[in-house]
Amino acid sequence: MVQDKLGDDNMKDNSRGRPTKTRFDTLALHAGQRPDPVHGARAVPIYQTASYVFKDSEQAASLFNMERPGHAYARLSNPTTAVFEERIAALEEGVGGLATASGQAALHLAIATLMDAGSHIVSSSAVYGGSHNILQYTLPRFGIDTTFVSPRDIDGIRNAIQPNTRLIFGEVIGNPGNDVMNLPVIAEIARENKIPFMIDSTFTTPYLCKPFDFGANLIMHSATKFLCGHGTVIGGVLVDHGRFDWEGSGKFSNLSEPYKGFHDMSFDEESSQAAFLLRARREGMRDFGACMAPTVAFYILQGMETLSMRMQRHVSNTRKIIEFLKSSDVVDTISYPELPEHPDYHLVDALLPKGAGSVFSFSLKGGREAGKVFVEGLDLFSHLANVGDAKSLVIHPASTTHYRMSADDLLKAGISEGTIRLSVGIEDIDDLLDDLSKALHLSKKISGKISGKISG
Amino acid sequence: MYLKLKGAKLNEVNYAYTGTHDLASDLETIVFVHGTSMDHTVWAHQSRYFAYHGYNVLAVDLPAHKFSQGELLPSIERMAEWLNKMIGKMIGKMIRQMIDQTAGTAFHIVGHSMGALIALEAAANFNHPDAGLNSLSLIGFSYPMSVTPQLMDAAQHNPSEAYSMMTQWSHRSAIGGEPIPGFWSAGMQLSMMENSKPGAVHTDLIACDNYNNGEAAFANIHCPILFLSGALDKMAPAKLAKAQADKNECAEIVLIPECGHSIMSESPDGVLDELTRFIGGRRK
Repeated sequence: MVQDKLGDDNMKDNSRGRPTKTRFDTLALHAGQRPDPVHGARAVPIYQTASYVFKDSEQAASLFNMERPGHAYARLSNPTTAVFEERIAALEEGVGGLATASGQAALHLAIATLMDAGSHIVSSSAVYGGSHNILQYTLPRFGIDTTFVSPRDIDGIRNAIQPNTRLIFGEVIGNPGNDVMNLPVIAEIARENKIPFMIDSTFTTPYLCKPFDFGANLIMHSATKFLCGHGTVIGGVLVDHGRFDWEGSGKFSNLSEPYKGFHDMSFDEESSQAAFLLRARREGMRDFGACMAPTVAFYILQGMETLSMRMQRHVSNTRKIIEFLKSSDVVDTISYPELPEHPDYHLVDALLPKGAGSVFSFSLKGGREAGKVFVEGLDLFSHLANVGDAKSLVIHPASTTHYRMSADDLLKAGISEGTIRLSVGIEDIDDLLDDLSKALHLSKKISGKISGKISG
Repeated sequence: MYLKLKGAKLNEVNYAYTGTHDLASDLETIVFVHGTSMDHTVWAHQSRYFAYHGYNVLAVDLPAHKFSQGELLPSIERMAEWLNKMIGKMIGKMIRQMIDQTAGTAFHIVGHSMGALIALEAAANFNHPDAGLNSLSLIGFSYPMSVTPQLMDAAQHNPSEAYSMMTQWSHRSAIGGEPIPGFWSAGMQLSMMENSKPGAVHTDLIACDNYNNGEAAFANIHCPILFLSGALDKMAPAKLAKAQADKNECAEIVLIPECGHSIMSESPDGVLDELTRFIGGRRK
């Protein structure tokens, strides 16, 4: 009987006779959620609760001992948050996700799960300032050291690996020079050394880049940014691809040896695909407790429903603004990977075919004062320290986040006195261009005065 | 009396999950057998539950699957023979540890998909003088378990496509929303298959496709049989399980609603509750 063969009914799923795969936009709206079976709610309900009533003592014990799935206490899991975790896992094509209180909490949780005192990390030097802080200043107090290497220095990354290295870390698109990490090459270095490669995919989201396709093992997001997309909440998440061989590596006894803190559980015996996530939740969330609130998960899920549409608009607006800035005589340089002069231009087609994001930097000829005037001359662009909002954002590092630094020190950090960072939003592009035009005009006046003073 | 099998290594090349428990000679034993390109963790909740509720548990990794070494076995009969050898070794160790040398041991075998065929064949050839087979549970079962040519071709020439096909067809929907917080069941299955040994999916599917001893095997089984299927199973349609259940007076069939083939992850509690009822009811 033909219809009784494994797969026969399914081969009829579409006219091409190939399996149909649920696509990104559909998963962004639906993954992880079945309509509420009790009340029929279509939106994801917010389960605003700290705890859950047990049916009986037997069920309670089974939940705590992982004999049955479910929720025992909201620090460990929550039904609303679980939808977010499953949805980002589906979009990244991983095995699962673990939501955290912030992106910083996600990074800390990953490191605390994988490592002990005496471990070492090789990190891209072009990472978010908050990530740099914890790696450079905080973790050494707990015996975990980091070697920073330019993401473009492939040999430097390879040579920085030590016997106690337990992670290679970087960002798809780094700060402030929009450095694009060569994911397949770095992933291969990690694979050769039997250590995982974790990538911060905050700026790109799974819509623009899927790091697992290029060999990354773990992904972290600051969900505050594009995933949420509306600047309303703080949150983070880890996603595990499930392909790293923790036992075969021989370097991760935390995951492959019995853990006395959970009935001698060996996490990779218990979950061959998600040992990392299992320990991160069962130990990390239990002990460090940096969990995501259910209302926060709800806001992020609302944002993710429109992720594709927003990212397309972010990118198209960015491209138009860059074209506009290129024609301005007060703009000195523009750093965006899609420009041929960018050092990582050659990576864009392969890694970022849908666009290189909407956060980029450019430099004004008038230096620190011109930058300050430019920022203050903007109306639609909000002057603040964040990125990834639907609204356009701007910051002038030399007069804000880096204001204590001299011009020389700024240059060492890859920033000039006139560097402006934009996070381009999804407003009407003509209004954004009008706003930029006005501010550039004001900046030009200052540039002229400065130029006059210098020449006079 | 406990056996020295802690750490779950049955011997150097064969692995079985025991729920981090030593095996006790005074407890009945449940043997769990996974399906094509899978491993013991498909039984994560069910095996752990029984291990903490008064049973010995052996959730095996078949040869050349996950932690078990050795060569891929080419037929259901060979895999069943291997399984009975493992059970025999375990019985031998249990008997040696027994204070009362006349005591016997009782077994229950549970299999899913290809593992259900292995369980069936192993049950039919269960011939251990010091042990009895108390029950057989066949989950996501169909007989025959023939494989569509497109899937077989993909398994041979493009395993990634075969993994993708089987993952999609094993779940009622890629949307997910499964009861296990934080995990995407389809992603878990795809990862497990991609992590399987080269050639495993093709070898396992050939074994399923070629197996034709089912009727004879059923005729040789005298213990109660539970058929447990997802009502929406597209890989091993429940109607085939029902056809077998109808022919066997020792059998019963239970369909779990809103579930496909990956029934242990789509309804972990549903499967566990049925196994608890069925196996618990056959406890001596």
